[in-house]
Amino acid sequence: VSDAILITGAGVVTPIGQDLDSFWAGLVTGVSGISEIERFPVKDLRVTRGGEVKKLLRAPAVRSGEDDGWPDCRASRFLVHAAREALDTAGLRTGLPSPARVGVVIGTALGGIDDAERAVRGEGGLRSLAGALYDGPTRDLARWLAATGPVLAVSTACASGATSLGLGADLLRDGRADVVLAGGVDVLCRFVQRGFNVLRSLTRDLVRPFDRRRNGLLLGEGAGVVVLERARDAEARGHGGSLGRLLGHGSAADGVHVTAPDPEGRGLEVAIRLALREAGLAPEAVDLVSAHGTGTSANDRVETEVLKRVLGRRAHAVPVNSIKAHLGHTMGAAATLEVIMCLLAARHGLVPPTLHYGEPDSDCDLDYVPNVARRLRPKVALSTSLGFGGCNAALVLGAP
Amino acid sequence: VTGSWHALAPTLAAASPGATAARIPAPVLRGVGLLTGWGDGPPGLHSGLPHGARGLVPAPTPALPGERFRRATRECLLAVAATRAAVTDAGLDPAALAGDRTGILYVSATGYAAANRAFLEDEASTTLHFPYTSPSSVPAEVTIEFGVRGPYVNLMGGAPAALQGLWYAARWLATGAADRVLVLAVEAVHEVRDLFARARRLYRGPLVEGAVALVLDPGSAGEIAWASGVATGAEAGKAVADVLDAVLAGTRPALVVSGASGARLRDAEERALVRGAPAATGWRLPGEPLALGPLAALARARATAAALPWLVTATWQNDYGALLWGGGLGGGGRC
Repeated sequence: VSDAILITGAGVVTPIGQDLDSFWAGLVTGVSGISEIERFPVKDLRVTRGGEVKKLLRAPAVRSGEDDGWPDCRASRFLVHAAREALDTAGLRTGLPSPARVGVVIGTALGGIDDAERAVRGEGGLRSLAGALYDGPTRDLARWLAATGPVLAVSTACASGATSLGLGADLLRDGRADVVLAGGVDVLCRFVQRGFNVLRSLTRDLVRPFDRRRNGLLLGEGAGVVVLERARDAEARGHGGSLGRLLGHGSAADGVHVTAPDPEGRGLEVAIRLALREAGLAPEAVDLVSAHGTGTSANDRVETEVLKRVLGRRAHAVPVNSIKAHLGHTMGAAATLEVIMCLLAARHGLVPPTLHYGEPDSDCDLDYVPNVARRLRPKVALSTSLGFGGCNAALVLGAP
Repeated sequence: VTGSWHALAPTLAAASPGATAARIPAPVLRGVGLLTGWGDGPPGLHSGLPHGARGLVPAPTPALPGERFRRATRECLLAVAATRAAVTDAGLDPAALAGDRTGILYVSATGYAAANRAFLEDEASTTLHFPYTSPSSVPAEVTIEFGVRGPYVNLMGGAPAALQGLWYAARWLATGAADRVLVLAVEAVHEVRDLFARARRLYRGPLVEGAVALVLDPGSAGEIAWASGVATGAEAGKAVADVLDAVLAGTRPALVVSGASGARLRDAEERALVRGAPAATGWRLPGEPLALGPLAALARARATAAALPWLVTATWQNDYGALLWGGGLGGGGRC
């Protein structure tokens, strides 16, 4: 028990809410954060909607002499906002250990892409050039925290927000830090909206995970940050209200295609089995699956097939949900936000629904918690993620 | 958020311990593939940089046969070619990497920049271009080419990220998550050299391009230790000393490959090493190889048959990292 990894705090920025309470309320009541994109030009694109954060409610302070180094990077601001709530819920705003004992591990599919747009236009000087690097937002968060422990930037595409939590837990297990802030972030911008537009991955319809009519995803933006601690350290400081436990992590490559998932889902299956092995649990222990569930034809079919192989005869009895229709696909933030959803489900005894589900698909025949939240207090949840480059990741989470 | 980024600093307790090193059984460095601006293979590292090298030391683009590579980016080609070289150096059949017992750990600071810039600047870009803006496209081409389907992580950053990658690779081997791990670093800057020229304060030039691949197998002797920290401001020297003290823990390395840049960090490192590694042979990789640096350092150390253990240090922006390699060596640096 003493080596267990606790999730003692969490914070979010999402299109449906910028704190845990509003995020949770939006998830269980079926709020969709999808709207017309307003922050950058989209009129020439085939799809003009996404999960946009219209206004960051509590924006960072206007620069003063003291915080002159604060970047303009939107991703960094999302991270700071989420990290602040995560520290609050962990009871660590005034009690972090020494700077060298605080680690930061952040996953991202796009890094400081808005700084990159500025840098290519010749704007922003050295600050935008440094911020344009994929590790820019991670460094900004570490600097905001004044953390001087290990700083890791992860980019396993849309699985990044799961991989980061797994690596963060390893830092604690290895004694490299006493507190790790881990999570994921990405911002919606013309670069990525245009990219998915040319790939024809975006839908003009609703996002309909696992539904027969599904025909694509919509992008979103946001950040999720959790505070990870060893159980013995949390107990020693008298923190008794953890959100849950991070029991296991696994990752694996498809080795099949640069963008499309392996039709057989072999990499995802390896990732899930590695995560269960690290957790020391059999598949029978899983009583909730938070699926990647993007609403694309291939992803949802592959995930369903893999879950049936791993969960066996119980597969049809285990609720599987996707919150992509609420938020859009928040890319590097997605997996962390889905982890936080699982933790809140265990806390409240309620599983958020998969929105816009109406017509069953013979290829997707599991229980997807359609449209209405369900009374259930999961003890062990499995979260699955897939990304460009054949990236797969899985996390196993335990209730407190 | 109403606070500045300093807002939390006063709440950090000062009495807790500083940097600590993690230790784990050392893997065997079985194969090395090195295609860089220094020249192919470790011998290129001995000769340093071409005379008068400035700004950027480019790496030649490998010519890979086959339709599949027609649209791959230069960084993908470098990655596949370096992996092939590492497999050959290890004396393995390429099929030996296939399956879910081989892991891959990819590290880069710049390996996406050219594709990102091209897509940003060309509104007529098509489906052929966007997938390659993702950093994961580089290791993806390697996993496809060699059938790698095991544990998979990509770390973004300069040389300290490569030390992180080596650590996690060793961890996969030690925990049984994988039986073999490919650690791969690629840096490609030519297409964005004007942007990096504007950011010279971020690195010690000239930038060295290329790819380095290491094949690691489980080891049975020795261990590796890794520590890192952010070294900035008035405490930078102390942070460097803390990291080195934590990694060395009384061990005297026979070889030190320094990646420290900037006068303050170099001075702090030298002071710490005078105490911790007084008899070590020391050298510094020429130019700024970013994430290639630590992997190239191990390649050269193996090629020169240097006595163990080796200490490899690294910096990138404010990060400082150190890795003590006391592990086994396979092959003989044949590449």
